[in-house]
Amino acid sequence: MSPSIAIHALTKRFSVSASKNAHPTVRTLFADFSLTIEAGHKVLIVGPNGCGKTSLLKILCSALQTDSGEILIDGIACDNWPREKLGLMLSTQLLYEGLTGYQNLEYSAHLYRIPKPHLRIMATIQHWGLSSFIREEVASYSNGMRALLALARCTLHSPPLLLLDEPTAYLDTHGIDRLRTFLQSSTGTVLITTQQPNTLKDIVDRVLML
Amino acid sequence: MRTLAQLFCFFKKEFVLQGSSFLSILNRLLIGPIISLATTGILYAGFFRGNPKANLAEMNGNNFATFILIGFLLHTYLNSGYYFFSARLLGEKGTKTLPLVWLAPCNKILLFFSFISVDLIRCLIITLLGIIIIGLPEKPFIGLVQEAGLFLFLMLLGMLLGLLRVILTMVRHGMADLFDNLYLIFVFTACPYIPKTLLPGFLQPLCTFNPAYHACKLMRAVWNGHSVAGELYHLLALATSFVVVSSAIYVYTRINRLTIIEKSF
Repeated sequence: MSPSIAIHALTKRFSVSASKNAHPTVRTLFADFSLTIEAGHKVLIVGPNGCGKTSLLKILCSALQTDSGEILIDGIACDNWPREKLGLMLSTQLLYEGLTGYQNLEYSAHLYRIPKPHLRIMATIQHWGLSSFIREEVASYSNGMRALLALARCTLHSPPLLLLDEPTAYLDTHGIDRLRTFLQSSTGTVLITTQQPNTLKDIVDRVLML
Repeated sequence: MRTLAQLFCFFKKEFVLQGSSFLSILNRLLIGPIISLATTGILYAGFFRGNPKANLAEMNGNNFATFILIGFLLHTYLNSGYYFFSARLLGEKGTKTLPLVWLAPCNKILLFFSFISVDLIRCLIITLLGIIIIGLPEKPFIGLVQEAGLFLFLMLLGMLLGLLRVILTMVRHGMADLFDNLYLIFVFTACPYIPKTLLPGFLQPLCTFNPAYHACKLMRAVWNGHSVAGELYHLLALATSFVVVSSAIYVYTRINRLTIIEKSF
């Protein structure tokens, strides 16, 4: 079951300093921000740099604390939402450089307690077109190969809620086609931040401008 | 079965990541332990060779090797849990994969245990070298089983303290350095290398409240053929302190859970 998301009166402020000894000033990222996303919807989040796209994803996976407001995923507070139902792709990609692509996926499969991991990994490798380099160390991957592996890693356990931070940043046209195919066949709720909305906006349910 | 497969995969990842060079493995697992053991042994052997009739409280020329080696094993297992585990966990922050560890829905105890799996081999090699030097305990089978339990306890205690160190590093930066200094006092008052009665009077009460001191007493008693049950006072002190330390760390971690996750990113 894909979840719905309800954000009510969210406020998030940051303390920013020009230098270490300077007096910090408060920057407001979200002030009384509300948003509802229906179950199963694919939402593209766009906006200028620093507008809070990545922060919104981090708040949803409870990796960033809020100053006030309520964030509910399927009626459950986001920090209590089961982790196994969440897929997260960040700009840091969460990959081990010293492991091969396959070992990264295998490790992730065991972290998420996937039954019969090998079969699932092989299907994922095929879907994202990783076969030709999956047995090589991630340290030798290009940015595009890493992005594909990161997508494979976060979709491996078929999470009903997927948060993708700039997934198209390094992808070539084949990679973007694979992402589009995945999104079109996915029944889950997906939030995607991007600086290139044109590549995906025709297949999403909603484009959210921050 | 799935848990075993999970544990195997976690161990494999650690061995692949840490065992990329044969020389580093050789240094860490064999040369390092031999040099550590040799330097400690040479120091005390030299002293007792020069003063064959000297008595350092309960330590003398006949039993110093057993006394020192058991202290050395305590230090090894405790340090492995504390320094190695915390360094490994902070290493995940360095490789920017720590969110994967915190957010994963798997059994964190298995995962954390895998972090020290490579170092566990080093500890086992040191233990074997120790046995080669001082021989087996008085009651070999039951003695070794009880010693293994105590080693595991020390490692877990070290890991708990190491976890606290990682959390402090992320939540209150300056506190981690202070904690490292407190850990040195903690190890010193466990009396791994000198008898308690040789410590200054104001330090001796600290030993009473130090779980590692009681573990050390138990390890020496077991090696000399006493039963663990016979050392009820030390056993109770050990169990109580473990429950107190782990409960305190659990509560602290729960309270700071979101801050810890936030700082991991």
